[in-house]
Amino acid sequence: MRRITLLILSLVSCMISLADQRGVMFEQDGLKYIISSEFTTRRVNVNRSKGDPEHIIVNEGEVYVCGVTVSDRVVRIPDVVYAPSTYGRKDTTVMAMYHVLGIGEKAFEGARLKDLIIPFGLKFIGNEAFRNLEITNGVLVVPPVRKMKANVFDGVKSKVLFMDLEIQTKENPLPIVFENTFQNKDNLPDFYIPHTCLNTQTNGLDKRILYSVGNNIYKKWVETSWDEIMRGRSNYRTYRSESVLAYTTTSKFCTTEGEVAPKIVIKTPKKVEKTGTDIDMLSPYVYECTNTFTHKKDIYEEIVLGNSLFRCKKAGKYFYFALDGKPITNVESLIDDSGRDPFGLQVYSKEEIKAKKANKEKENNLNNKVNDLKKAFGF
Amino acid sequence: MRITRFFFASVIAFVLHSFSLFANEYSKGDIFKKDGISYKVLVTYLVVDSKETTDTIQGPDKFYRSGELMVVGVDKSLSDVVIPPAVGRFKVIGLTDSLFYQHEHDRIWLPKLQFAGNGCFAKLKVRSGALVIHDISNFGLGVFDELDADLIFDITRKITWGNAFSKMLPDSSFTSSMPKGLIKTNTRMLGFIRNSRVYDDCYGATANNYKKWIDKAFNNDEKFQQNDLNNKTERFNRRTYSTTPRKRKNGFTITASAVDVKGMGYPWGKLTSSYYRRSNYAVLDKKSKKTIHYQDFIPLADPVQKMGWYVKFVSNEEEVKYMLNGKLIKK
Repeated sequence: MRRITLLILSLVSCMISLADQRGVMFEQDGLKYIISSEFTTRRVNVNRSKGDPEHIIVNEGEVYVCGVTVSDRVVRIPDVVYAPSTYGRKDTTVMAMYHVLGIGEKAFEGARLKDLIIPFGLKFIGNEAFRNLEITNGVLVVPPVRKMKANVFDGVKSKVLFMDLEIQTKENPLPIVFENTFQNKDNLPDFYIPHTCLNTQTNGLDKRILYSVGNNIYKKWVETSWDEIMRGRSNYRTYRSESVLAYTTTSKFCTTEGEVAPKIVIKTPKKVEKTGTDIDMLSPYVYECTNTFTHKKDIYEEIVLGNSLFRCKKAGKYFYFALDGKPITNVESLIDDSGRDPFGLQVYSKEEIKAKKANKEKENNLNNKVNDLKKAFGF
Repeated sequence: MRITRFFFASVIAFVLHSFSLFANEYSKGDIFKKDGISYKVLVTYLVVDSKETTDTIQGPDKFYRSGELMVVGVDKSLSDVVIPPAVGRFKVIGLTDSLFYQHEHDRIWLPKLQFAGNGCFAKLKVRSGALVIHDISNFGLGVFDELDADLIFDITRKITWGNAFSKMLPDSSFTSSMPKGLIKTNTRMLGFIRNSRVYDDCYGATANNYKKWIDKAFNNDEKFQQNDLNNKTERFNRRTYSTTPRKRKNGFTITASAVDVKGMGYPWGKLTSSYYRRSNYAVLDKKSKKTIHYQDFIPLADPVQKMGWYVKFVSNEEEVKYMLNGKLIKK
């Protein structure tokens, strides 16, 4: 009995140790999202009424679609969603802008929708994401996605139109990575591509299974389901390149105004970019902080920016700095009574706070006693 | 005894049938009907039989009339319509105006053709679901107007579309005229239609997907798909022949064919000025190595003058006669 209890306790502790803010799920407009990463940046915003530049701190991040809660209606996956920031769990009014990174495993399994509108620039579509999906409008329009995992279209009950077989950027086009996407051949729908994509070189896709369609048919299919997005855009290629570039560029910001302020660059680790293995994994970011106060350059896993200080995370430890880069050594002075730091992070548990309070009281009692004794003996 | 009689009767019937096949000597303008399909003879020219003639022509009786046909009628009662590539020695080259207008058939098999007339497949219903067009070089006006089936272009070369997908309104203006079904083609052949409006309106497929389309159009009947291989009559024709043994250095080599006549228009109407057929004989004088083109060639026997047989050529301007060795016969 003891052993079993110990085993259960150790399993629970394992699960707790794996949990972090990534993986928080929320629901919005009929879709379920899972947060995969979050970061804080500082942006300059020009105040129109005063004409002065304002510095605002915004929380951004990435989510992926993990499910759908509605049926028989048009569902549009947006480019970005706004939801309460995971960094601001204490204060639910702090909102973060999350870019939609991809579609998770079995996200639309067995769903029946009037139409599904997928945005450009997604990084992945997970295993069996559209398994047995039924689009009553007849065509599932799929824009180019960087990576498609196994059996994505298994059992789809409508035509599938690939808008392109490569991702157009302002530089060289990027190929789509198909990872056993068409492995299960028995239950595949009819796939269509525009005639213009026939000469595109692809890996992991046998083009003999594809049908091609002329421009008029393509426009008809795309415009019925993409009317909202395509309106006013005569050339979809222009739109496509914009959306892909939107969040693949590195972001830079300073913690405060002035030339000597610490500079932070948000980057995708080179290892990940080269191998592409983490393309559909969580948080691909690192934060390179050049601290002008300490003259040190450090790479952190996480940075949260506040109005008077910022917090960095490295190897599981949290470090606090003033906005000019001065390290704050007396961390306890920042922690409130509930054990949270100014960013809402629970630094100390209730037991630790109780113990600390008890220690403090003891110390105070001791000090009081010492002071009393000092007074009594006339020191 | 009865069996023997039946056997001999069958053999005689077969021989007579063979004779009748080769004895089809139609003249220009003739209309005849065979297996529910009516044909009009557009042009004729003389050919020889490659099985009968090995080296040189033995006499005028060894020439046969060959030529080109246009389909002018199809029985509405036919469930399967098979238009053969040739009838006897005559090649089927086109379909007349409104040939299938408001018809309804199970399947239609068409050979490679040179033209399809105005509204040829207009309001046609194909019950198998698709009409397969092998190569048709020229189209008339509104050829596929309201075709009640998918349209599969099983092509191997570039096509001149003309006004195939337009039709004329009563006020003489043109409007778009498309089939009710889908337009399909082999993806590999898309290059042949890249410059036409069909390119933007068509579906492409390769390999098994394309075969599925074709199979469905012919109700998965492999035999029906091989209709062009069944008619081998054309192979017996030889259009180039010599009046003297081939190695001899005098005489003529004659090549019979049909050519376009500029300014006459198509057989079904004057849509363009580049199509009407007439016979043409390219006559090569073996001695002088010169080739002269004539409209007509008549091999003649003249036992009275003891010349054996001789040849007469007719052109717009003149009519000339030659001995078989190439010597001119003066009038």
